[in-house]
This record gives sequence, C-alpha cells and structure tokens, in this order.
Amino acid sequence: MRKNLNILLVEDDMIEIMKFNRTISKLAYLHNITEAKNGEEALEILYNSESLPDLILLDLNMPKINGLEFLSIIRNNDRLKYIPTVILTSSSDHKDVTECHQLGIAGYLVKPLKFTDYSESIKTVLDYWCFNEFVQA
Amino acid sequence: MPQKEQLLQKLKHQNEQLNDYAHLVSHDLKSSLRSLSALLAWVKEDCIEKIGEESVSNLNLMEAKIEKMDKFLEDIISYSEIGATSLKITTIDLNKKVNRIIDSVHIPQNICIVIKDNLPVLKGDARRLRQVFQNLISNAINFNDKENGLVEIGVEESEDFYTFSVKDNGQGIPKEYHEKIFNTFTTLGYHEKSTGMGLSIVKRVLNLAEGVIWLESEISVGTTFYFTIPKKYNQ
Repeated sequence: MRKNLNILLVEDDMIEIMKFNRTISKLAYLHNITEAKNGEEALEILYNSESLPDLILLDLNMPKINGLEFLSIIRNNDRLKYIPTVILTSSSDHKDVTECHQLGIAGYLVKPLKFTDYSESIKTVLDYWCFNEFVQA
Repeated sequence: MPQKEQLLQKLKHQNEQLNDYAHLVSHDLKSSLRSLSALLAWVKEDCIEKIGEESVSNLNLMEAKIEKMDKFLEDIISYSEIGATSLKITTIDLNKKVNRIIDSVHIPQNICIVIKDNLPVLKGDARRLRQVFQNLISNAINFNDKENGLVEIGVEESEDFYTFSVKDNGQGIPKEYHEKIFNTFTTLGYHEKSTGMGLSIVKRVLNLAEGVIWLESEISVGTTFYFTIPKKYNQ
C-alpha cells in the first residue's frame, strides 16, 4: 500500500532546500517534510520528538555536525539506528561513498547538475520508499 | 642524507595539502554550480514567454557554460584524486573491463569501435585503468571527423610489459602538439566539451604505474596512442 512519508531533510543550503520543496510540491502525493539545517539540529529534532521520521535525506557537507558524523551517531543509537537514510550530496568522492556504506545507508544519491534530473531522482527515491514497511517507533 | 630525506618529506606533505585543497575547493564550487543551475532553470521556466528570443538564447549560453564548468571541476577532482588515494590492486579481465567502458561512453552512429586483439587479464587498479581507457576512447570518438569513424583497441605483449594502442582515423594531431597535449588544461579546441584535462589524467595515472605514453599521428589520416603497463604486479 502506498503511503505518505514523514521525511526529515537535513540540509544547510537554502537553495538546495528550495530545490527540494519545489520538487515535492509538484508530486501527486503529500509528504510531510521536516527541515534541519545541520546534524546538530537534526539530532535535537530526533531526540525530542515522539514519533520518528520514515526516511532521512542527508546532505554530507554541513556546518557543526556534518553528515558523516550525524550518520555515525544515529547508527550507534538504539532508538534511531533503523531509520533508513539516503545521502544527498554533490560529492561522488570514493572515500565518502565507502564510509557511508560502511556505516549503513539506504541509498547514495549524487545530485545531478540539472534541476530536471535532480527532480527526477528525488521523485524516484520517494516513489520507492512510499511502498515500504517501516519499523514503528 | 637526512637533509634530502627531510626535503622530500616536506614536499610530499605540501603536495598532499595541495591535493586536498583542490579537492575541497572543487567540491564547494560544484555545490554552488548546482544552485546556479537550478535558479537559472527556474528563471527560464518562469520567463520564457515574456522575454525575447535573444534573452532565451543568452540563458541557454549560460546553461552551457555552467555545464562546461561542472565538467572542469569533475576533471580537476579526478586529477587531484590520482596521487592522493593509494592503489587498490585486483585482478582485472581487460576484455570485460574495456567492453564495459565502451558501453558506458556515448558513441555516435557513425563511429565503430573494435577490440582487435584478445586483451590480457592483469593485476592493477581498476579505477585507474578505467580512467586511461575511457579518456583515450572518448578522445578518439569526440575528435573524429570522418563519415565512417573507426576506433581500434589493440595490445602487444612483451616480457616485462604490455603495450596497448588506441587507434583512430580522425583528424590527426600536428607534431608540435605531441607533447603539449599532455599538459593540464591544454586543448586543441576541436570539441566544445573538452576541458584539456583528459590526457593529463591519463599521463598522471600511467606515470604512477610506471608506464609511458606516446603517439603517432598523420594529419587527416588519424592518430594512434600507445601506452605501456608494466607486469610488476603480476608475480
């Protein structure tokens, strides 16, 4: 059964957030988006909310707590470690890709240059996760 | 000599820093380019009805420039990564590998790519070898001006090394450029998408693998690039 997703978007760049929201607004399904500007803010949201997001979309290059640090913190937290996390980054750096997969991710998306290509890949990712069963927190 | 040792150590350190720096800057610029590209697409989408033909064509030119700059940054990142990461040696079936590379590059209908010889199975770094073959094959395709373009890949085996060749029937390269083309950012300007980084990446990879590269070329008849790969990892 297809369902609407609760998504935590961890991204510091204003225009990247605009890109994401513009993409989401054109989809037929209404997803519930929570935004966090960096890893620290995202952790605060996760620690303080009763229900957990279905999916985390995570940028790597961020101030304060960066994407990799954030990922390693939630993977070592019993309550948070099952949340599927998809990396959204402009770096296809071999080291980043390897480290993320070692920590455990549900996808690694390198942001395409063109907005239409970007939209298409976000749509595909969300279309897939819409049909998944999640661990209920 | 300890002083020489020290100097080498210092140089090595500085080189690493320079690589890290190039890497970092390129990644930041890449992110900015993604933003610019999106904003431009939105402006175009919102205004295309209201602005004149000339402005639309200017926006398209901007888009093309952004794309080219992205390609530049991609190449700078590849180039700076070559010395920075250590080699990962595995056994590679070059027949399979090269076929996969050919499948991954865009081949226009008028170009035919042939693997002439049975390519060897050897030990090497798969990503690095990919960079070498991919760049040489793409060049052979992109700079081909013939109605029926032909790219031939071959190999000859010697006791200590293999000599590979990538031969095309393209426009040829004038003698005075035979060394220059391996310099960074040097392009002969035949192709709008070329950044002048491809052959410097190839040369750097081969240098590190203790291989050499050279070419034979005849104007309007074609060019053959030869490169060697030592068998030192194969014992």
